[in-house]
Amino acid sequence: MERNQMRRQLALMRQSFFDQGFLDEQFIQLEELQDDANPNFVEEVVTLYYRDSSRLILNIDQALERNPLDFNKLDNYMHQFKGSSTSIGAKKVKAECTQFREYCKAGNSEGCMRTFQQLKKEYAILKRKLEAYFQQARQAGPLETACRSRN
Amino acid sequence: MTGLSSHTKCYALMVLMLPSDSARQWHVHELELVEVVADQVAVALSHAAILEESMRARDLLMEQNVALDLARREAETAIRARNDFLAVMNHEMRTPMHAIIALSSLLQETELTPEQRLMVETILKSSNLLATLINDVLDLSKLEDGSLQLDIGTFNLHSVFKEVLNLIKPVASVKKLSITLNLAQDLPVYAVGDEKRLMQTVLNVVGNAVKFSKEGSISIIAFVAKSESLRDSRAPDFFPMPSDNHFYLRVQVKDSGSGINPQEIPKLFTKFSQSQSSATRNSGGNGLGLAICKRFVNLMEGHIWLESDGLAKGCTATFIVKLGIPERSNESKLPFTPKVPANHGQTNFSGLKVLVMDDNGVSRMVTKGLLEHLGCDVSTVSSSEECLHGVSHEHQVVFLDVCMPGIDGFDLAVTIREKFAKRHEKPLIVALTGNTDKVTKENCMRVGINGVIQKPISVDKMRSILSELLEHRVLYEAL
Repeated sequence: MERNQMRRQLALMRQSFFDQGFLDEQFIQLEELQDDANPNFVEEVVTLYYRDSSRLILNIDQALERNPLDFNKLDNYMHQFKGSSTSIGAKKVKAECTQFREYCKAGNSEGCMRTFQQLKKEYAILKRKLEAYFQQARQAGPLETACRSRN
Repeated sequence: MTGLSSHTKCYALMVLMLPSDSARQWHVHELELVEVVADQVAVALSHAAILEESMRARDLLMEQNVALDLARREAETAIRARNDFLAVMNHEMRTPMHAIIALSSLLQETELTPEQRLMVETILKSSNLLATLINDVLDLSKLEDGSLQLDIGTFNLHSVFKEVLNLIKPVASVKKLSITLNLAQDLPVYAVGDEKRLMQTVLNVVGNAVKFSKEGSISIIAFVAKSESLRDSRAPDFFPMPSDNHFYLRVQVKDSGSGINPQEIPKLFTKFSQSQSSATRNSGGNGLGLAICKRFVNLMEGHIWLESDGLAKGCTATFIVKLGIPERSNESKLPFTPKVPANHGQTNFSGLKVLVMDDNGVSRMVTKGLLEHLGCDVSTVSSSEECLHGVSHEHQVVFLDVCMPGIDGFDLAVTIREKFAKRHEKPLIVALTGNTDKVTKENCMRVGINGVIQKPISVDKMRSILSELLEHRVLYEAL
């Protein structure tokens, strides 16, 4: 059945996110919160993440154009970014956030800028992957068994 | 007239008739000569007879040799056929077994409801036990020549019995049999021995009890055998010697089923023995179950026996095995039991009114989703002003995210405390923090915060936290 094949592919796609280090255990925690009352919880949280963080990225980009850099402000922004990324289990993005904050603490402008480019790259890759994943999930149809019933 | 005889047998009779008026006169020495000749002939005749008999015997021997040879070849063929059969059956049985185990494992990796997960786990556990049984059963040669070795390790003894109970309960409840398990107070939780084979033995014995009872109850008792009870009249050649790092486990399974004819009992442990009575206590049709149990029990330096007052009078199966006591240092290698076990206490927090304060939108949404999943009635705010404005005496718990720069979570907590100082109903305040250190913890305690939790939090963790918090009004986990 085509649907079963799609679901299998979906499962493989999902597993690859973990195997390749894009997502961590926190993502699974989000999946566990998905239930009959909240059937699209994960997608909703991820959508919110991309909406919130796109604003942050804009702010950081602008802040990085200043001279000299306001490391305190940058650190604050990045603290937010890291918090959000942690909440959805974006492993690689989170790592770049940590790296950025280290450079902020050390006052290393070049380090910050370099890391931020890398961060944006990881961010975009993950966004693409998750969009594809959710699209396929919608096509494969709702998995009755995937939702845990409300406690 | 003279008889030609050798020894006692008479072979022929030579008659010499001498008419009294014959022309020839026989002298005595001539008659003696005739006698000698007759004797010689007798000897010759006897030799011939012996020769004939020996030739007959030789022919017979040759025939017997041929027959024996044929029988030997037939036996060899039979053994080869048996081994081929076992090898084929081994493979035939292992292939579907492997499929069951592999696919069940894969199934576990997919998204399942808790009920489904439990079912899959039971399937996996049963399949693993069955696979071990197949390996042991079909490896007759190993059991035959006693080269089977136990897999010794430290394991949870209490769980073994609980597992058996879980596995057998479905069958027993279908037959409306009640099963009770009684583990003695002094029965060690952890022991050293072959966990799988001990479980197999218990399962086999309990399974038999279930199989041969149409109604009634089955009781399983397990306790540490003391010296007096170790020496049993039914096992006169069993001399157990308890020591400091070993103990003897005694298990008794009593059922009210079809019972056994006491005369049949010795045969039950012999493999492949066919009992005359229709109700045979050997598990399955091949009669191997109890034989295997006996092998295992013997390897564990123990003894197993059955008692029954007769047909329809139930049966008690008892076995004693020697198990090791794990050293204290081993306990650190044992699976760590968490301080607050999952699902401890309350599991439904429906209607619990909580307030979540977090300035990070994503994090706020996740925490809200988590608490709603547990049934809470969640309100959210994103700043301390909103928090102070929104918090009321109806809120039973307030979650503050204190890793927010620029907002002093502690001050907020102090302010909330002051707000409710004169009221009887005060909300519990819990700090959520990504930073964990002693200073943070101490600061929290100082301002009267009831609990500190490190992010990220799983559903299970939140559940047990809420449980403990509502029970004890305080929670400070090791950070």
